[in-house]
Amino acid sequence: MNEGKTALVEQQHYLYKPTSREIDLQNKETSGLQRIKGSPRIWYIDIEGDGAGIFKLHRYSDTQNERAAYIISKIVGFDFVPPTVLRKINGEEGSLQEFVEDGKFMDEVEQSEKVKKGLYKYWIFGHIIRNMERSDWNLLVKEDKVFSIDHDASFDPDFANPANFDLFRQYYGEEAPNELIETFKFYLGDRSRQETLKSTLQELLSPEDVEITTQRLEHIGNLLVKNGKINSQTELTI
Amino acid sequence: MKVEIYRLKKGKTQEIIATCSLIGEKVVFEGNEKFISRLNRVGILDKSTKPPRKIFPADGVIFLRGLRDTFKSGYLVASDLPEDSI
Repeated sequence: MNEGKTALVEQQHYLYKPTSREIDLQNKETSGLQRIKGSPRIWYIDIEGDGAGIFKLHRYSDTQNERAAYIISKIVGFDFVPPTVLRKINGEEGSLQEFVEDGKFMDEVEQSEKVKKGLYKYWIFGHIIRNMERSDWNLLVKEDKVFSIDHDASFDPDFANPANFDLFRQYYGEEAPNELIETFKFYLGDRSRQETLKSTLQELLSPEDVEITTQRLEHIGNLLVKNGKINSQTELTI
Repeated sequence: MKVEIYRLKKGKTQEIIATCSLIGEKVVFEGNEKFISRLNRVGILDKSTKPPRKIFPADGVIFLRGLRDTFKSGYLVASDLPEDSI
């Protein structure tokens, strides 16, 4: 096989395969479009025969970051960002994210052990995607599962200081949930998964952001696998 | 000068969960007590400073302005504050 063909096979091997839900969000007819009160930037949309979505208009925000955050959550195994795609609706480009029906906010739920583990994961995710906005207002809880939402302000260029991502919560010195450590073990041990993530992110983010993000994933993942916790902000300085 | 925070509920209905008004130099609230209590306690992010910081109702106009950038998920949305009203 010549070099060109080998490269093509490699590339195909690392192509991300969208889930059936993503395909639905991408292709199904939408209706019942409703601009959300208070903001011209966000629409609530019914998806043909199956739920609803939050549509953010690209001309007002970095909607590709919404998709990138979903892809990281999905491929690495966090699995807590609702399915999110980029598409055009009524002539507007934007991100369509599955609506979490009956999602509750932190002031509406008891903090069970499962929720606490979800919050640790949410904290780590904020460091990986460089999102300072990981407050109580950008997470939902449904049946004890934490969902991370609103990621358009991710991949912050002013990221050098880990303290920027600790403003709303931090768990230094606390044991990480086993599931999260296992998630990273699986991700770090699977080159195909890492390459798929990289190639998929390259369609959404700048080469520099892809590089920084994958470096952070590797660095933070290795710390958690090795030590079972993050001891200090210094450890998170890359 | 005031900002309304809307909460999206099932079936596309939206309710005003809090109304935030500037009284003197401080922001005061009306609405859902639990939500307001958490907002008072947790604060919101102000990215306009370096390093970024948390701000609270006592920060007045800055806090009111920051609500729009905080509540933009669709589930919670803060209304725009007309620039000319400040």
